[in-house]
Amino acid sequence: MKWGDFVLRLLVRRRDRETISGDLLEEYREHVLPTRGSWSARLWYIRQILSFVSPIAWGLAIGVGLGTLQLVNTARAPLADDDAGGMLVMAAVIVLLWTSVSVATGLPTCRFRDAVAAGMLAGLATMAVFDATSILRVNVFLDQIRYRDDWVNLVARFDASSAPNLRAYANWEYVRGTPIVLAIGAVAGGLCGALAGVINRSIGSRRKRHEVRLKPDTPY
Amino acid sequence: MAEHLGALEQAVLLALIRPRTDLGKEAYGRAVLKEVQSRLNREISAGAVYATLDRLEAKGLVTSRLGPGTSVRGGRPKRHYAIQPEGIRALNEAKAAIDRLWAGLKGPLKGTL
Repeated sequence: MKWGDFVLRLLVRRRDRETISGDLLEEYREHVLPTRGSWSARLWYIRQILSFVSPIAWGLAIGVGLGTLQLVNTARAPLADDDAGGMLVMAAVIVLLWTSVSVATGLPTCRFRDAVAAGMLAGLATMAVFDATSILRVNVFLDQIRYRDDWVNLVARFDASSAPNLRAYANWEYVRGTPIVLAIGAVAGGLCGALAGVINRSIGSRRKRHEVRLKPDTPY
Repeated sequence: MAEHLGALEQAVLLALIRPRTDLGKEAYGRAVLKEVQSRLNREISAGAVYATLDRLEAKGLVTSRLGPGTSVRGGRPKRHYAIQPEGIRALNEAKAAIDRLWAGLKGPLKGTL
């Protein structure tokens, strides 16, 4: 599990690298491996490592994935219209990922606000990276995508402006839209976090029901 | 007034009050994690417990020191945690708040809502 140890060291503070990896190694060798077997023990180790990934890091990773997909699609077919079905699937995947991150982050405390905060951070981080890759896309593929159907309005606004060139104008428009993109990410992520908060509460109350057995129809 | 404590923070502080786990009296990360899991009767991720320990240390409710490692850990050191008077005060306040809420009621509750 050397690669796992390497990833773990990237995720925790320098101060805790040796101690936390030592704790996990000790638990892995002394308890998990003998009781669960090799495969299950490896899964346990991966799960423990993933538990150190913060919502922001998850959001950045989702943003990198999303941005890379956008760049690859543009490189393959710069003038192709966005497919509505594909966009819907992508949106569903993002919602699922943001909700999963929020569930995983908020579950230990089962606090609603922890899940909402995790969702907001993940959404914000995802959209920050996605916005950066969108600006990169404009600059790399400008000569091709300026002829896209969904660029007609932007090009018309450029023609009516006194901007020196389309590149500068497109960059200015994208940067001007950044706060809105970030706000959308935070709100959408927060909504996913709220959904996760409800899921976590349901899991939490189910746990409590196992611990405290109420007797129905008996007065206080 | 002491810090407001979440459920996991209380569980971690209580684990430090009662360090007599199946690993002995050593309140290092793994022992705290196992004690918390045992008390809450469910699996808690390591990341959540270490993040809570970090937060409690930043609030001044616990302190930590490094101890020697063992061969099963690949010689890596252990970080031992100890609760501070502020942590005990915060726990007492958390319990007093719960006791005030439950004053006059005897658990477990019976009946329907």
